[in-house]
Amino acid sequence: MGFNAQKIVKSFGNPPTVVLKEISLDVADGEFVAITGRSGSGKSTLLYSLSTLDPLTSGTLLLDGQDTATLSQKDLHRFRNLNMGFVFQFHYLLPELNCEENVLFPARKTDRHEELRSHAVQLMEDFEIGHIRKKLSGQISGGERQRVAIARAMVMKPKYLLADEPTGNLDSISGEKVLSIFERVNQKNGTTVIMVTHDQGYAHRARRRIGLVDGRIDFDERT
Amino acid sequence: MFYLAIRQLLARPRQTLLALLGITFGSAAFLILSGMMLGFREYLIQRLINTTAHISIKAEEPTIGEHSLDADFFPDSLVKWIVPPVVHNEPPHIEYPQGWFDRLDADPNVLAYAPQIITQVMVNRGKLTRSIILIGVEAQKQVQATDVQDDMTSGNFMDLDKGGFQVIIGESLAQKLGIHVDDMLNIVEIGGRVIPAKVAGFFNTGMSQVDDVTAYAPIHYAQQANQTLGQVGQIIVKLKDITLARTLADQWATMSREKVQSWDEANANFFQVFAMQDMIRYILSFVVLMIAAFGIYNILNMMILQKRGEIAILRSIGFEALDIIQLFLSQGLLLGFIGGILGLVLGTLVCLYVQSITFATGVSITRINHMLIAWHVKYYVLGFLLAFVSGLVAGYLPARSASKMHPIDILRSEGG
Repeated sequence: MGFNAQKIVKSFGNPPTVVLKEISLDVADGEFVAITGRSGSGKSTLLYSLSTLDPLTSGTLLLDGQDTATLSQKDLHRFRNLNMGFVFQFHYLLPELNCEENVLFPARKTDRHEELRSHAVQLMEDFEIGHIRKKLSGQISGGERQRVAIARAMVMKPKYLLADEPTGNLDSISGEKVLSIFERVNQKNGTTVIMVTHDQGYAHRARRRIGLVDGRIDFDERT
Repeated sequence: MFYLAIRQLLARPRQTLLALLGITFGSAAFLILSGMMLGFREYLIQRLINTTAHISIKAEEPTIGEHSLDADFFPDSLVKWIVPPVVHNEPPHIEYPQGWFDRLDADPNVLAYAPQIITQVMVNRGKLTRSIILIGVEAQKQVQATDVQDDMTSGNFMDLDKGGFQVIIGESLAQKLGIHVDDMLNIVEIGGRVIPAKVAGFFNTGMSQVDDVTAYAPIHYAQQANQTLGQVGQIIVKLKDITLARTLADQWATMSREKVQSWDEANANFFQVFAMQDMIRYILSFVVLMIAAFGIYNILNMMILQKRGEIAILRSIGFEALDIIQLFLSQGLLLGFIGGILGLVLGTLVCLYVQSITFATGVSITRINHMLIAWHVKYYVLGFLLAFVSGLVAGYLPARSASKMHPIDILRSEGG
């Protein structure tokens, strides 16, 4: 079912600055979408709006066919916990917990951390970070941290993986590894990936690219 | 969230320890102050009750002003006295003591009562002379109405009823006069007549202001020394239930000309001091705990500022505002809980040590030779609650502000 956005508008401040201007788009399940654009074009805002983290000013967003305006905050939290994984430019790992505990932390919300432990370990092995399972985030490299953050985003086996500049803080080798992981989870698990990036090279790794200019869709192309 | 809260506390051992110490000291300070202040107070109140009476019925001290007698002697006249009457030359006494005895005998709340006459006399032994208060009593009734028998250190209080002019004096007075049991001393009456009295025993109430200047004698000898034969100066009453003292005293006061006072009214000045002590105790403990709570508040606030990004990720992966409150509030509560428990342990140890410290009794106003500590569960509960509530308040305020942070605002401000 995926995402179905109809004329979504997002504005901030007073007087309001309109960042997203009546954007309509569909993202089907299993797609790998890159949202690109220059700074201030509204790409991150679009991602957060689609993720329900940022409420819309107007317009309609259907998630899996359900109008998000009809869902309570509790339902939205639950939906995000069960169906969405987030990766940001900064890893935001909890420094008090080791990497494995960080990966499993979303599962603690629903007390499923023991049930999902072997899955978490497998994810970490798949992402080549199995050897740092018991290390704290302060003891590993930036690339490893971001892969731990991706494992954390994937631990609940979400339908959707939303990433905001996931490679923005990484060197090219680490960035390449992150992209490979995204491609793999998209192809192997069918996870829908929506990635915001300003890097055209990485954007072309996605099968669909949406370009934003001044809060409007400039192009929407598929490979 | 409790799991993460503990991990976050453990990850900052120094900060956690400092906050914990603050709460521990606050809770311990309350327990120690309460134990010491109230331990001595309870002892003092017990002594006051047992050595005085639950209720005392005293003759009103007659006061005569310049115009008090005008109407009696010169009715309908404007009087100008050359020498105005200003004093009364008769010792105060209860007008109709038998009426009181009958009433007290019939009252089911009264356990015992004892008539007394109190007079100031001089005692003389060799070259030593001292002014003392001579309390004339009926030994049997006095023993029933007070704990005087328990205060006897030599002799038996009941010996006063054996006949002859015998006195029982304060132990410290005896030391000052240099006398022993069965020695004789001279009582100098108001008229100047000297009567020899035999010392039948000593008592020690533990209050030097009593023991230094007080002697008991059979009531008719005291009446003789006071030149008030057959008169009673006051009646002291022991009740079955001391909590009724104020109510009964007020009731009886409305039915008589005498001044009827319960033990707490008679010692109102002590209770003013107690009230002041209580205020100091609460203020001190409050200040210590406020400082400790401010410490927790500061630590959690700093932590929240440092963890804005982590709060954002927690909110985005499905943790709600309530989970964020729980995360930080539980840290405040944990510090309050553990600090409270540690404070009670520390307070108990300090109280035990203080209680074991002995000091010389010679200069003390009491006969106790060590610090007194009140061991009451309610002070433990209160001390713990103070610590816990400090943690609760100090934890809730930053937790609430953290829960109001919107993940998107954080991510934008962090450049994500």
